[in-house]
Amino acid sequence: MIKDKNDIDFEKSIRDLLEDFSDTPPADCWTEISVSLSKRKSLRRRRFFYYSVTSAAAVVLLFFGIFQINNTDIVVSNRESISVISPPVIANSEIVHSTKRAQAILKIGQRASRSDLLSVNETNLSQIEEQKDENRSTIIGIIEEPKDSLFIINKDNESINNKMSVEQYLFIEGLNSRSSTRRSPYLALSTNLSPSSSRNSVSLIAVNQTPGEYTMSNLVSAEHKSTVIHEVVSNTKFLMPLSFGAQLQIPINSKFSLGTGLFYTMLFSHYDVISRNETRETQQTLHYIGVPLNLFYNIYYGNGFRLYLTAGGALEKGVGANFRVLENGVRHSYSKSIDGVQWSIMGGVGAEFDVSERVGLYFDPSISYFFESDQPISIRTSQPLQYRFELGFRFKL
Amino acid sequence: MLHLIYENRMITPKREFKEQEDIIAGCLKEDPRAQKALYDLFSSKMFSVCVRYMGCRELAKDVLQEGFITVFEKISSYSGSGSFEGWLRRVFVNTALMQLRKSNVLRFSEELNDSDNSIIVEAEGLNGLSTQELYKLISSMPSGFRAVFNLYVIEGFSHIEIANQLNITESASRSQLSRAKGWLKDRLFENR
Repeated sequence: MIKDKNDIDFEKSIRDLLEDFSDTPPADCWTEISVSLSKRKSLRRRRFFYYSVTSAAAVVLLFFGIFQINNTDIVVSNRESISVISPPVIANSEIVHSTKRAQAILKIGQRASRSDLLSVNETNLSQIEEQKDENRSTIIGIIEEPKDSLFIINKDNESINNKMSVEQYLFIEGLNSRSSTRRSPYLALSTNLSPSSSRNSVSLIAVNQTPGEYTMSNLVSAEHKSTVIHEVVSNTKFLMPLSFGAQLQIPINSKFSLGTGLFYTMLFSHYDVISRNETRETQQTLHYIGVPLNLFYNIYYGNGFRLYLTAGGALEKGVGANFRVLENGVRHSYSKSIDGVQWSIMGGVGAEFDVSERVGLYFDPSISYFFESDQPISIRTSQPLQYRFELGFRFKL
Repeated sequence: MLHLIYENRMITPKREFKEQEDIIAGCLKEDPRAQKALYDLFSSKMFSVCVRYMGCRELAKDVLQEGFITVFEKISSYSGSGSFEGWLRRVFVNTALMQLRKSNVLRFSEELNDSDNSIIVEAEGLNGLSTQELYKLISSMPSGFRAVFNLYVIEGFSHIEIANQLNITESASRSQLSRAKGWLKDRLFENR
């Protein structure tokens, strides 16, 4: 359909008149938008927090679920009276002759150690039963060589409850050579290094100097950029954060333990500003005290070595910010408080080596993410995702 | 002045948003000052768009608020290649159309008489009419064909595009435009 010229002119006239027409909106409009934005922002943060907590809880439950499924037939009740009635019937006649008996007499709530179970004891049944009282239960194991298997015999039904290797039993029950009381809490003393540092340079443009304040913009139109002489106006350096602290680790069961404690972190930044009339160097040191909450999951335990996964979060409160400023050759120092808190989550793996019966050396490489929470600029605001290496000693209490 | 270094997170104190790119960059970081600057820069123009579509200032205010919230939340979807104002206008037009759909005023008859299609208004008809008067006139158009008139004449959409946007047929779009022009012609005639 061909449009009439009058029609085209009419439409163009209206478009020209109204396309850029302005009408001032009611005065309270921005206030309402602003309030709505704030509400949505806090709702988004709350939602994210709930999702994080829910996800973490789901992961924990999943781990516990797997743990429970895998261990249904293995856990021996502490209150169960266990002893050997007679040597178990072993189908394979080839290994009968090498069968040895081992026993462990345990307090309720205690597990047998490797050495307990591996010691060959010729004690007869009557002697074992005499040693039993309300606070003790007895585990008698039959160790077959060379298969090194352990039978746990339930007295009540006189049947073989389970069969597993000694190593398997020890691992599942959370036992090792230095730990007959593996469920004791641990105190970990550690230092943290995040091998991240960063350098940002703002190169460009116009510096408008006015008395008492200055305005710097690195966002100018492309055509202006070509006409303005570039100069470095700022240079920011973030140094490697340093952290140390203590953490109490409480075993929940043989696989899981929960850790919490207190740690201190120092964040360094260096900031230079060079304008036409001014040079300023600022050294910023931020001090944080934090409380972590971590969950540890043992993957492997044996031969004085433990491998585990760790996940958790931390809440940190800035205790102070120190500034050392060199402004046009004059040095000033001052301090300020830091408002708000810093949230972070972390996940990683860890390895622990037994140094002695009660001391272990551990190394936890991990990744942490620091949430935007209106904190002073630092390496964490520049690079919210950070690698972290924690090194320390764990002491069995 | 020194304390400002900290309070403004070691970035320039009293940072001002003079350039549009600067404002957009600030809005991407959800900086409230940049959001206010964007509002100050475009609210009047976008409010007139809202009034033209919604027909009254009260409803237009709601659309303006909802539109700006959408803009601030979806500003990352602006590619940066085209006109920012054009992108902004699309957001407000879409928000207005959504509101109109909700209030069920975008139901059109598909009937199109030959007489409807032949309605031609001459540009001279606008002589003597101020922009403010024309703005009020279009805003007071019956809601049934006001949206089509705005989309076609002012935003420059084709009937196919309007049909897709409003989920109507192309002929319904033509019909509504003709009726809008007829209505406008009558009003312009009355004003003479």
